[in-house]
Amino acid sequence: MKKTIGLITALLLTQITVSQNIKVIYNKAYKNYKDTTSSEPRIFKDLEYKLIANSFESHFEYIENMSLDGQMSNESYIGKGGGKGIYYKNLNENLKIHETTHPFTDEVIDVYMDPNNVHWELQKESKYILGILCYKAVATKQRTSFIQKKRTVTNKLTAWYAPSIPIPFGPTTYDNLPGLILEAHTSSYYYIASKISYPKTAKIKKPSKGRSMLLEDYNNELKDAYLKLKKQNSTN
Amino acid sequence: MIKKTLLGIVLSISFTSSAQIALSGKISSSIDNIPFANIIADPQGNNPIAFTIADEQGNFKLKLKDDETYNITITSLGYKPYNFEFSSSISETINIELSPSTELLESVEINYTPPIVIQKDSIIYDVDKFIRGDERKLRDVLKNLPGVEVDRVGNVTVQGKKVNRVMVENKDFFTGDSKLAVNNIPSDVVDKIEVLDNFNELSYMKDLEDTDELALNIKLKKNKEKFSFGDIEMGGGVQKRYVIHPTLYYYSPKTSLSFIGDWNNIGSKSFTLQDYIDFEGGKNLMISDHKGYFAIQKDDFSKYLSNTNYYNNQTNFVAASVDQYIAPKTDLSAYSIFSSDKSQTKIEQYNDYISSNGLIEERTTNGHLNSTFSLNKIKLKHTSKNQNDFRFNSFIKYSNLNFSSDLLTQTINETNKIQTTHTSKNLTFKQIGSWHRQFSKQHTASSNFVYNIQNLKPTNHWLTEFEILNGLIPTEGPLPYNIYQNKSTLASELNLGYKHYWAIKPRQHIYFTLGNILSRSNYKTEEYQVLDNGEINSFNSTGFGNDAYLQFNDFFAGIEYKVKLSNLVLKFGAFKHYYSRNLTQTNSSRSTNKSNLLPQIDINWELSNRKKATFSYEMKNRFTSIYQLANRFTLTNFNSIYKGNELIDNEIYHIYNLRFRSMSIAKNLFYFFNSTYRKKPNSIKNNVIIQDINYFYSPSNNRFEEQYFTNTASLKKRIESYSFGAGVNHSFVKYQMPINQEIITNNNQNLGWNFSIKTQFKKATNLDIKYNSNSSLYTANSNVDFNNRNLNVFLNYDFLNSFILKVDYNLTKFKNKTFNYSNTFNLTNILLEHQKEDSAWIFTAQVKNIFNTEYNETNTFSGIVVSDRKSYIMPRMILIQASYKL
Repeated sequence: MKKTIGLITALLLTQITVSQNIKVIYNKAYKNYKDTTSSEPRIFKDLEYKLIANSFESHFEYIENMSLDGQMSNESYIGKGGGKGIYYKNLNENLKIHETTHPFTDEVIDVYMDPNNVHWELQKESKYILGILCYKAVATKQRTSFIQKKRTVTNKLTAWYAPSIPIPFGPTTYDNLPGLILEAHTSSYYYIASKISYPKTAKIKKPSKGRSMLLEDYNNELKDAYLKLKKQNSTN
Repeated sequence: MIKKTLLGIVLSISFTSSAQIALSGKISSSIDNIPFANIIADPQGNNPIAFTIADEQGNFKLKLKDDETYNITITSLGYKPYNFEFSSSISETINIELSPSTELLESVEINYTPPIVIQKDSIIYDVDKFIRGDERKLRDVLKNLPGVEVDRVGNVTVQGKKVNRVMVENKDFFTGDSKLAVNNIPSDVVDKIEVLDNFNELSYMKDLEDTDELALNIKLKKNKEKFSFGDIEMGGGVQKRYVIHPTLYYYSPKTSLSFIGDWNNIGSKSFTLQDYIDFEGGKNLMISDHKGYFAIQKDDFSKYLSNTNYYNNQTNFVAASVDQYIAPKTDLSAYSIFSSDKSQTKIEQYNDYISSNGLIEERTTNGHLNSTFSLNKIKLKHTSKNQNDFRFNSFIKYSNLNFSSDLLTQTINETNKIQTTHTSKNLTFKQIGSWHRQFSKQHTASSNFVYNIQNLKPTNHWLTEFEILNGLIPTEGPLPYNIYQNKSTLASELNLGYKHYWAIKPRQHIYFTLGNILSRSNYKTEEYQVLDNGEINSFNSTGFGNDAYLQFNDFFAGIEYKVKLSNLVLKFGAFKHYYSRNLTQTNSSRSTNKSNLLPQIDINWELSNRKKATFSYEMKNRFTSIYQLANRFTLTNFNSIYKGNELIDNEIYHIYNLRFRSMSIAKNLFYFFNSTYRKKPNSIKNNVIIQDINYFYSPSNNRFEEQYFTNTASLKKRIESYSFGAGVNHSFVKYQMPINQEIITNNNQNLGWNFSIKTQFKKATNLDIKYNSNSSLYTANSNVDFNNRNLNVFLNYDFLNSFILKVDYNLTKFKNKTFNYSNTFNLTNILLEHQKEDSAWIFTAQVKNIFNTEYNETNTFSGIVVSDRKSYIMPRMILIQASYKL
């Protein structure tokens, strides 16, 4: 009898813990990439993002905010270094979606990305973020730019992940590490976790408001729109 | 393909001494497979850390090296981590069972007060990408930037919004006014231009807040740590015309100095009314609505600065500023302006006194204006590490004006010649302090104080050949009469305010405001006649001469609630004011206590990224100034007498504003609509009694309704290198006023439209054509109808690589249907500029007012008089100038 009860409790506990939800609040922060000193990045206190995840899917977006009267708003930085719109990942369906608005037409687009395009190199360096031991991982990522002269831009990604929270998610497109990413940055823009909580219930919804497009097609569309605008504006 | 693979194999063989093996397997619990577990392989040696994430079924595969010992950790949410050591020379498969974890993870949060990180909404222009090569000053650079427009005077607008402030390396350039910076900073030192939207250094009181502030920050090229730049412009022309205009600017990280000098007799001025208003604090410091008590008070000084019509002028202008770093986070800045100006004016007026049965007066005024002024400002700014911010500003203003004129007036009944001398000395001191502190994420507070003291001393002397004012003044003895007037105002104001910001939720705020304004003023006037024998005939016995003292206090408390609902931001506010006023003057004293609740509503609706609509409503209360309360007669001109009314307290008004703005970069289309309605249910109007050209006026005990309604719409579209613009505006004013015991209803309608085309070719001829038409119709006890049409063509022609020809053609056609009179006015300037590439010298030859137009003509209607006014302007000038860039 005792054994049975023990087993049932264990099962129940397993159920609870396995289906545990995680909510992380990240702040955007800034430190010029040319600044090589050990100074901390400056935190945009009014730019907060929330990640909600369970063991197989995650949803990340900016938390709508309102600036104090008379205070300058950092709203124009919401999307700097990524962060505008909704980022959704699902391991079961092997999905990585970024729901965003087309910068020229305001149309809502669901951009489907390759879920495994970053090859992280894990490093031994560690630090504590919110009292949680995190390890450093770095990667390089190439992306095509139609604005800069160099068509291919190589970005260096840095992330700090917490092996003690073993889910492979993080802010914006940062993911695929053996632990939750609590801090990440590319060039000057940082995401730094400021709060972690474990809500009992959480709704994680796959974005589906927009027109679905593959990342490559979306980039091509943006490029065409940009070139058209540039041609319009260029003076003889 | 095969080749590549082969090459890969060869490479891996030759460069690695160790071989790759695989560790694969399955992760499960006692019940089922565990999906998406993390597997980390931490090597004891120097090989890289390997990791992988298991698939949905719990299968994994890790690539490892055969000569390494790994510490393998397997983790999965809800299970205990599993560790083991692994070393093998061949690929292996293992199955691992994880046991459930009974520990629940705990919430963690950073417990810190974040520093005040102040960033701004900004657009940054990299100037090098936009320059054409022929730019000389910052203004020329700005003109090339997309979305930026500079008018001829130097006012800058970005995407239709006016720039209120210009900074160099984050420090104010002189007053911060755009004109001085835009026309003086050489183009070749500019590296980047930042446009900071919603710029607001700090604000605390509701009335000081202005989210429409737009600032430019000029980033300089970083060739050297310290450098200076500047240029000297010198020129001369026929009829002894001259210009000397040096500009020097020194910049270093700790100190920046600037100097602008301007000596000329060509009628160009480096300091205008707008600069003066900015000096007074501009938009930022229009402290609530009580500015009537103090600030600019339509003072003599602004009146003379606003006069830009003169036919002869000599300007001496010097301005210097210093910006000094004192200690970390502490900066001191100071500037000083000194100006001495002499000008000659001539005005011909044709006045139709509608209320005097259409009596016509012809008036000619020949004047000499000498003005000297000095404006000084010291500013100390300290920002402490995190939550504190202190600022101190001091202003000192001194001005001295002297205006003497000969006036000739002629009507069918009388003719008179009057010599007038007006002097005005004005000294103002203002001290502003502010403090801002953030206590926590939810609570922020700021407070401020403003202390202002002002001493105004205007005098007038009229020497008249015949009797004036139909015997209303007790003049005696033989003609001509020497009539004198001395006035003085000594006023002080102390303004204290505190505002607490409470962010209950990220999208829900409550603000509390507490403030007190105490002002005191003493106003004195005296009028007298000096007889030939030197005896003084004071007018005091006939009701002239004021000596009034007013103390006014406004204590107020307010609450505002701001909430964001998706793309809608709503703000509701209510301010309770307790006013108390004590007025003491000759033969009377009066105390008034009043209180009012003033509501306000703001609605901001972002329809999309590019479309925005706002609506606001505000109720305001304006108290009368001491000038309106002083209850004895005073002369306001040779033909008018004014008397205040101590019984009138305040007027309440309601302002409704609706705005809509749409901006599409992709379509290069911008349009906006703005509509304002203002209603005063109980407006204060003067009771006017007019006889011939003389009038007596005094605030009426009765109240009248006044309505004001204005609408503006504008559209801009760019197609390739052509910019098109079109706009319409309409305004309507309706009010009543008592004239000669009869209540007259005034209706003023104004309708205008405009159209413009502008070319923006990179290196070629550019044309800028503007046309606008404006019609005004006044309906009072008779109708007055004006029409004004203006064509402006600006040509910029580059030729032979180093020459630029600029033609500025202005044609105004004016029609006064009431007088059945029309007139054409043409003002055209031509300028030829020569600069060899890489040369520090620039030579220009110019002709100003090429058609030698004598005067500028305007029409006004005051409800009593329709005036046609010809102001004489600078005649044709031929000038040759050379400028050298340091």
